Amino acid sequence: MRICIATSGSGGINDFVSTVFGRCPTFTIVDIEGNEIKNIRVIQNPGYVSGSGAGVLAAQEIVNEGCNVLISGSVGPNSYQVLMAGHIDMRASPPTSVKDAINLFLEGKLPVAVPVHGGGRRGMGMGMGRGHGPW
Amino acid sequence: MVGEGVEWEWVWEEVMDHGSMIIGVTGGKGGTGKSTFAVNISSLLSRKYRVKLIDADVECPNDHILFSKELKNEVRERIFIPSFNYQKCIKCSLCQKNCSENAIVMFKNGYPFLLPNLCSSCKTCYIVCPTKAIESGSKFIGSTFITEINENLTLVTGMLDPGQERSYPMVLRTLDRANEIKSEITIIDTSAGTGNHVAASLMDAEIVFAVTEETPLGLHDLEMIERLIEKMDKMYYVIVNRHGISDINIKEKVLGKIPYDERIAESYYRGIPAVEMFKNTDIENYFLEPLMEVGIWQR
Repeated sequence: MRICIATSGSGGINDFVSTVFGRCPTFTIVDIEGNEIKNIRVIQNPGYVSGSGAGVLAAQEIVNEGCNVLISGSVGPNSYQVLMAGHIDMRASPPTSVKDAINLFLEGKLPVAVPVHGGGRRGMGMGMGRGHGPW
Repeated sequence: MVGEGVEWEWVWEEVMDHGSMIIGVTGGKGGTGKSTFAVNISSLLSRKYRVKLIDADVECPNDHILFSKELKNEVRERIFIPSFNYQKCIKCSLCQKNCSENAIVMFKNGYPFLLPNLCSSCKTCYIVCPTKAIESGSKFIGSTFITEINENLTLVTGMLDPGQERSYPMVLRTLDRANEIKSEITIIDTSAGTGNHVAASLMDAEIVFAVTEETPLGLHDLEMIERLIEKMDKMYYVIVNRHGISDINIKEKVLGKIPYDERIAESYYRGIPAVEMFKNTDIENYFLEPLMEVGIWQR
């Protein structure tokens, strides 16, 4: 089983789970074999520097990396659609260390993530202040 | 008070030359009285000319409310979105790579699919597809309306559907629909802000009135809209609304100051243009003066 954790710093097993998914800087990808952590890898999130559609880019990357599970603080509505299409098991985690988050997941204690509408009236895919209306 | 060195003759010649004149009403800040000003000057001008008022504030059009009219002659408007023909698709991922909004999703060895909410209908995918696997689809974004206010005044309204995020294409559709109506004077009431939806509304305007108020926020947003108008190389003047509510005094390029007056507020909530409700009073002059200064209305 391959787990991807959205991490808030430079990634790795001691980094912390990011509160956001689309615009977190790195993804830490671990393979689990019989409740043991193997093969820790860190990849850059292409959505971190993207103008718009960050969540979509990030989600595509996760699916293309062959991950089965995503652990993140939250998942945005656009990312959610893509991750659903890619059959990813999305789990929400508090901002603990990656290690703790994986253990919590393996114990079955992480709840299923639901899409959030962040950032006020028009959170949906409206990065960098685009598309904002009069208010 | 104002009007020093205003090239009103030039403006008047424009009207005479091609038999029509386009006035943009904008302002940057929301709630300064753009619609009030646009509704009142179109009401005034319709006494002499055939006027069309275009309500390009497609996110919340309200000019018809200020005239107490129901919107009529609805036309549903649609925009391009890609529709994939998977029989022709060779999974080259060119559409996905070239989509600047990242609206096209493609998994490894999978076919591309679209997240319609993110699509800006730029047609790039349609152009780059080497096998013509992307066909023209469409989605509804809103409606345009043509409402007759009086025999000389027609209101063209664009209204974005709730939940739609892009007002720019809707503004273009509204301006297109307005071409159906012939008029001597066209007044375009833009939305607040300085985004591309405002720029699109002002594209054809020959003279722009920036309506603002004398508050710190009004001043700030006026600066932003001035930068936009200067970039677009338009002739513009500032109209100060609710004059007298603060100590701030805007002087530059000011063509008219509409004082804070409860009678205007009353006409606003009654849904009658102030110039109709208080005909032949000083209220009428507040709106008439700027028009006289630029020579659209002659003494």
